[in-house]
Amino acid sequence: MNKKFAALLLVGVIASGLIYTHPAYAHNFGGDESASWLAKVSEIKTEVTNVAKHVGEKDVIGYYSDALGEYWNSNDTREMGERNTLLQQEIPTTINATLSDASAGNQSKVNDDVAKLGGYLDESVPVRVDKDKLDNSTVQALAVTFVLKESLEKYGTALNSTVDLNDMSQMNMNGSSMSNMSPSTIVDANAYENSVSLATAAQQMFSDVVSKNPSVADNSKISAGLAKLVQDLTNKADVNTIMMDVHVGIHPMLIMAYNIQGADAHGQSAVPEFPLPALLSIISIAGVVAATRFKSHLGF
Amino acid sequence: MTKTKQFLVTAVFLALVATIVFVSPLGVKPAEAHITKVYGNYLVQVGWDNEPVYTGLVNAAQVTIKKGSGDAAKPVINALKDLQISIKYGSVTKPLDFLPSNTVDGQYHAVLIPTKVGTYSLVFSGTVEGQAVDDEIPLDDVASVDTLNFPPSTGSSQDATANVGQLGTLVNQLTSDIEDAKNNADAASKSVSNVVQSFQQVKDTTDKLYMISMTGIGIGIAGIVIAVIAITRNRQQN
Repeated sequence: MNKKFAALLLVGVIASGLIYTHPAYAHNFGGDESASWLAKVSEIKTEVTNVAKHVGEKDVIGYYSDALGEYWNSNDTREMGERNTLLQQEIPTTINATLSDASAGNQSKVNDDVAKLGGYLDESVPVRVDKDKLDNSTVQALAVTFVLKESLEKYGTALNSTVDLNDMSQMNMNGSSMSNMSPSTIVDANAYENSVSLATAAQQMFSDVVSKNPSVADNSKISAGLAKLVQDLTNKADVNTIMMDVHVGIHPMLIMAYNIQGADAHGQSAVPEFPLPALLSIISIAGVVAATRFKSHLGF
Repeated sequence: MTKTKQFLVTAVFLALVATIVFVSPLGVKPAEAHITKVYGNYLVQVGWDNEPVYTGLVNAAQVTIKKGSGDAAKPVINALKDLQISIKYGSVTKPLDFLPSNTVDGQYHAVLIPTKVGTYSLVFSGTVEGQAVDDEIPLDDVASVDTLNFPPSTGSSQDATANVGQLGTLVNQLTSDIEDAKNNADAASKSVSNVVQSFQQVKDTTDKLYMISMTGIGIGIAGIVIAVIAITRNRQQN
């Protein structure tokens, strides 16, 4: 009985090594300023578009006001002023006007504000991002990852999840739900809407990247990955599915196809994780050897 | 009578001075107004930032786009979104990168230094909010900076020798700068190459580890099977 139990135990350990396999790369993206600005423009546009959908709903507008406060703060105003004083003044003024007109319930004015703000934000891009960076596909792709990061963060908030969706190490790699994964019950509808809209914005951004870089090999796979993410978010999939979509279905291909490591200004590149399957296998083999070698001492 | 004569002489003298000062200062043509053209419901105004324009001095092509007519016309934000603008001199053209103005909505500037005397024009291709704008609009003529130079740059042979000397120094400096830039570029290229190589090595190592782990698993399973068979046989013999 003991022998069978020991054999089954060892088989189980080895099998766990087989199950626990995944692409061995953690994705830590560095802070490229140009990519951050491109992402910021997309995020602000997304937020004000959402505001325009909720004119007169003060609670929802309050949520998006906080979100916009994250994306445009006094530092951004100051930095913009170093390049263009008109945009330094107009961008925050128009954001505030959008929120104010939305609170007052004036849909027509909000639509005008959103269009005007979109124009100012687009104008800020060549002002803030140098032309060589603007034409750099790596910077463009990195900006997509930044927007995806925000989308995951909002989805975590929407589900009140204890899992950090941007932390790949918290992902369950066998693809099925585990007890520590949050259920896909939405507890914050605003964050949920925000998450879906940011993922859609990332998808749109990547379409623009593809149009500028049509010859990149994995474009279609990455596009399919983004489409799946948006679909899964719309279907309120569980946290692990969403994490798999991003960390397995999108990031590795984006990293390889657009050489994202090269854009990392702070030395935080994609680094290999410790190969856990190898460790489990070694332990298992050692166990088998020990069990057969010293079976008499173990009472087998 | 004498006072009247003095007054007249003074008046004529002042009029002459005014003519010299205001009508033909240094023989330079006065600045002309920017040119405005209408395309559908849109006004496109072009000109130089600083007029009159001289060769060799930093200037900028300026484009202002408004919607509507007269004083009621409103600036178009992000007007150049779908519009490509090049500058043309003779048969030579160069695409310009316009940036929004610091002070005026709907106004854009592209910095450039006109190097030759003559007529420059802006070539538009594309649309403004769906309105097609495909046209070539001339800018004010560029004058030679020599009209402003003092003392004249075409001076004595001593000056020429001094200029050649300065030029030689500049050329040497430029050569040195180019050499430095080349070295830096080579270093950067090597650095990128090293990064790519390192990443490939990491990938190879990971692949090898994966292979080793899979082999290990196979050996482990085989070990278990052998152990089970051995134990079973041992029991049968007993």
